[in-house]
Amino acid sequence: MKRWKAGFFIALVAALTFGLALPAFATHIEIEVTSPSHSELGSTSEITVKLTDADSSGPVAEAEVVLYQTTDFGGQSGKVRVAHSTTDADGIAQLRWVERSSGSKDYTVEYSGPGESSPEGIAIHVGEGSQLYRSQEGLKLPGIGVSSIIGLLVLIWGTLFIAAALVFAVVRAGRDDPSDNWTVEAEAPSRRRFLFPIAVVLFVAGLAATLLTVVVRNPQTHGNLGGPGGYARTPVAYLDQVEQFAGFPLAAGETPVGPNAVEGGRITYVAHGCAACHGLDADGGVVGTSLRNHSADALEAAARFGPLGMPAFNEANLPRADIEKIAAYVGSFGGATPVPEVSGDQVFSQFCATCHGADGGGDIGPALGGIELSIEEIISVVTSGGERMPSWRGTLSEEQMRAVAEYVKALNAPGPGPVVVPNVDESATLFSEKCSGCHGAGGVGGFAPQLAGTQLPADELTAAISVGRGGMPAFSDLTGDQVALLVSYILTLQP
Amino acid sequence: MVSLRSESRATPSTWTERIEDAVLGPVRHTSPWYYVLVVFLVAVVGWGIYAYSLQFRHGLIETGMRDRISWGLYISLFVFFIGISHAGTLVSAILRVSNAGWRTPITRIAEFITVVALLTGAFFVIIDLGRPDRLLNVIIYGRWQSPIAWDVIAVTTYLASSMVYLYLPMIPDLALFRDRAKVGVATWKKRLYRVLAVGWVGKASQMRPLSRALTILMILIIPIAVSVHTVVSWIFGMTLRTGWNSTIFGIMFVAGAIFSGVATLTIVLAVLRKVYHLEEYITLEHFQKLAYLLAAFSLIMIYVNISEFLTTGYKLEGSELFHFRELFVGQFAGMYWFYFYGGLMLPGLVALYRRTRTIPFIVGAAVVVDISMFLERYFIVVAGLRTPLMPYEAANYAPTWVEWSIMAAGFAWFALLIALFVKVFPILAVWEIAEHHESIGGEKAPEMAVAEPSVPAKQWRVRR
Repeated sequence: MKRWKAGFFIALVAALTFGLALPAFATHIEIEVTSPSHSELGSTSEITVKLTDADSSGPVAEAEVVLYQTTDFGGQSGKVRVAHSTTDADGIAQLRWVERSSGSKDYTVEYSGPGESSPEGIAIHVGEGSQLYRSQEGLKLPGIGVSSIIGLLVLIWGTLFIAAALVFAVVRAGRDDPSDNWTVEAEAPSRRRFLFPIAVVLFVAGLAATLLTVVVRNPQTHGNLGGPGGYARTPVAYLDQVEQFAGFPLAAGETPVGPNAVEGGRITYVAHGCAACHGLDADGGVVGTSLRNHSADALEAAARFGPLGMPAFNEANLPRADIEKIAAYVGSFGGATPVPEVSGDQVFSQFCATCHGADGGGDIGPALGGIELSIEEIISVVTSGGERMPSWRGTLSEEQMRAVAEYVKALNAPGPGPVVVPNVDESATLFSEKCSGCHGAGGVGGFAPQLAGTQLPADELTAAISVGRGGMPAFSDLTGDQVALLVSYILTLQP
Repeated sequence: MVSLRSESRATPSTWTERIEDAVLGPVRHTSPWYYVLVVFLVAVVGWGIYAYSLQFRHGLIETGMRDRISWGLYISLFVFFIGISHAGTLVSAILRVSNAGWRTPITRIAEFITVVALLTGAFFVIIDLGRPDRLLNVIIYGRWQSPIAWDVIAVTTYLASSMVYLYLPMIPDLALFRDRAKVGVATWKKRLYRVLAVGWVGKASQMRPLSRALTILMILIIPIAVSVHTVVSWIFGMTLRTGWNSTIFGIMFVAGAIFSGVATLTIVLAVLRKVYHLEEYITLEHFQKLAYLLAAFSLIMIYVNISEFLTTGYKLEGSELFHFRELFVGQFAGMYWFYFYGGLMLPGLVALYRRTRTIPFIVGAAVVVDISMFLERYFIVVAGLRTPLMPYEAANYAPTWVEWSIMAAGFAWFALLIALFVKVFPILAVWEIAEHHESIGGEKAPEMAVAEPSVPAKQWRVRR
C-alpha cells in the first residue's frame, strides 16, 4: 500500500513536471458531470465525473477531482469541501457523500491542475428524509413558561411585602401611647418611628422590582445574538494586558483604535485573538510562530490559508484593513528579533524528515535521493503539496522553501548523502527523526500535542506510536525495541 | 467598669432579672479579649482584601483556576456558606411552625447565622468573577432561562426574607434594650434601639400584627430556603457533566445544607454560651436535640450518597469510571472517605451513645461535619470539572495563596459579623423564651417597657 502511494506520488510529481515542461499538453480540461437532481437527507449522493483533454480528446487519468458545496453557516458563506476522488484510466471518478442538510444545494466540481479547467456547477435538491442534526422540538406544556415564573415571583415577594408592611400596623398601634418615651425627647419626633419600617418596605419592594425586571424584559436580551439591547461581548483580555474601566455595563464590542498606528495595531492584534497563539509581543508563543517583521501581504497569505492548524480567516472576519494595522504593530519591533538564518538542513530535519526520513531516504513519503526535479519544481511541490503531503505554503517562507529545495537537490549528488551527525543517545536521535517534526524539538512547541511532561502512560504511548492516534500516522517501521526506547525517552522529557 | 456594673444587680434574684442581665450582658460589658479578637479578625479580612486587590488587578490568573477547571475554592465556599445559612430556617421556622418550645433560646442566633452566611456566600460569587465590573450585566442582560439567573433570584429572595424574618421577632427585644440599656451604652446604640424598636410598648394591638407577620414569614421562608439550595444544586445539575448530571442533586444539596447549618449553629451556640455564660438558657438538652437533628440528616445524606453512586456506578457509563476512580481511590479519595466516615457516620454514633451525648463530643462532631461538608462541596466542584468530557488529559487544580487568603477572610468576615452583632443586638429572643418559660409553669414574662397592666400576659403570645 505504502509503495503504491509512493509510486503514485512520484507519478503525480512526474505528471506535474511533464505538465510544466510541456505547457501545450495541458491547456484545457473538460469536466463532464453526471448527477442526480434529487436526493434525500441522510442518504448517500453519488456523481460521476469524466475528465477529457480538450485538445487530444483523451481521458485524463490519475487526476484529483474535488466537490465543494456552497453553503453558509453563522453568517459566513463559502465553499465547503465535501468529497474528492481520483480519476481512473478512463478519466472517470466517482464521488460519494452523505447529505447533511435539506433544501436546494449548489455544488461545484473542480479539477485541481495541472492545466486549466472551468469548475462545473451542479444543483441537487435534498428532500427531508430522515432527521439528521435537527434538534427535537421541545415540549410545550400549557401554563409553564415565563408567565408562571413571574406569577411565582409576584406571589412570594407580594407575601413578603405584606409581612414587612405589617410593621406599620405595629408602629401605628404604639403611636400616642403615653408609656412610649419617644415623644419625650425633642430630637426624635414621633414621625421618625416610621423611618425604619419605610426603609424595610422599600428594600423589599426594590429587590422585588429588580428581579421582576430581569425576568420580564428577558426576551429582549437574547445575549450573544445581538438585538435591541445592543449587547456586545466584552473583548477578550490577555495576561498583562490592562483593560481600561469602561463603565459597569458591557463595553462596546467594536475594536478600539489607538492614538497611533502601532498602538491601534496592537489593539487590533489582541482583539482578533492573534495574541493567543503568537504571543502578546508577536514574538511567537507555545503554538504560533513569531510574526515580527512580517509584511501585510505575508500576514494575509498566511491568515487566509491557515497553515498548520491555524484557523483560516476570511475577509469578513479579518479584513485587509485590520491586517494592515496588525502589520504596523508586528513591524514595529524593528530588529528586536534577529531573523533566523535559513538553513536547508534545518528546515528539512524540522519539517520534512518525519515523512521523508532523516537522510531523505524515504519513509512515509518517498525517497528524495535521486529525484529528477529542478529547484523550481521542488519548490512548486513543497508549495502545493502532494497526495498525502501537506502544502507548506504559509508555513515555510520563500527563503525556507528555496533553501530546502536546494538541500533536496543536493541529495542527488553522487556519493553518500549529507552526513547525519549521529546523536550520542540513540533514543534522542530517534525522537528527533520521528517525532520532533510534529511534536516539536524536545516534545514542546510542535503543532501536535506536547509530549514533554505527558500524562499518557507507557502503554498508550506505545500504542500511539505503533498504530497511530488521532491524526498521527502509525510508525509501523519501528522495531519493538525502538518503540520502547522512544517511549522511555518521551517519558523523561520535561516541559 | 464599676460604673457599668452598677446598673446590673449584684445578685439577680428573679428569673426575669437574670434573663435581662444575660441578654444585656454583652452590650454592657466588653472584655479586652474581645478587642483582640476583633483586631485579629479585621486583620485577616484586610489581608483577604489585599489578596483580592491583586486578583482584581491581574485577573483570575492569580488563582489556580484555568480553562478546564474553571471553578474552585470560591464556588465551593459559595455553596458551603449558602448551605450553612439553612441553620436559621430549619431551627427557627420549622421548629416555630411545629411549635417546639425548646427552640426559643437558639432561634435568634440561628436566624442571624442565616443572614451572615448569605452575605458571606454571595460575596464569593462576585469574587469568582473575572470581570466584577460587569456584575450589573446579570441585571441588565440576565435571562431567566439560565440557572445562574435562578441562583440570583433565589438567593436574593432568601436574603430579603431572612432579613425581615430576623428583624420582626427582634422588635420586642429591641424595645427591651431601648428601655433597659441606659447606663454604659453608647448614644448611637440608644438611638439605634429607639429607631429599630419602632415604638413597641407591648400592647396587644401591636402584638396582633406582629404575630400575623411572623406566621406568614415562617411559612413563606421554608419553601424559599428549600428552593435556594435546590437552585444552587442546579447550577451543577443542569449540565451534562459527569458527576453533576444527577436528579438527586437538589435533595442532596438541601439535606447537606441543613446538615451543615445545624452543625454550624451547634458550634456558634457553644462559643456564645461559653463566652456570655448562657448556660441557664442554652442547655445540654439543646445540644442533644441538635445532635439528634445531625444524626437524622446524616442518615439522609448516607442514603442520598448511596442512591446517587449506586445508580451511576452500577452502569458506569462513559466517563463515570474516571469520576469514580478519582473520587474513591484517586485524587479525591482522602476527602471522600473523610466526608463519608467522619462527616456522615460520626454524628450518628455520637448521638447513639449516652456517654458521647455530651457538649464536647457533640461540638466536636459538629466541627467534623462542617469540615467534611466543605470538602464535599469542594470535590463536587473540582472532581466534576476534572473529569474530561473530550479526549484530553485531565487538568489539575490547586488553590493559590490568593484563594486561601480570601477563604480565610471569608471565615473571618463571618466570625466578625457575629462578634459585632452580639455587641449590638439581643442574642436571645427574650420574649419568646419568657413566653415558653411561662407556658411550662415558670415566672411571668418580664414586662416590656412599661406595659399596660391591663394587658394580660397571654395576649403577648403569638397565635399559632
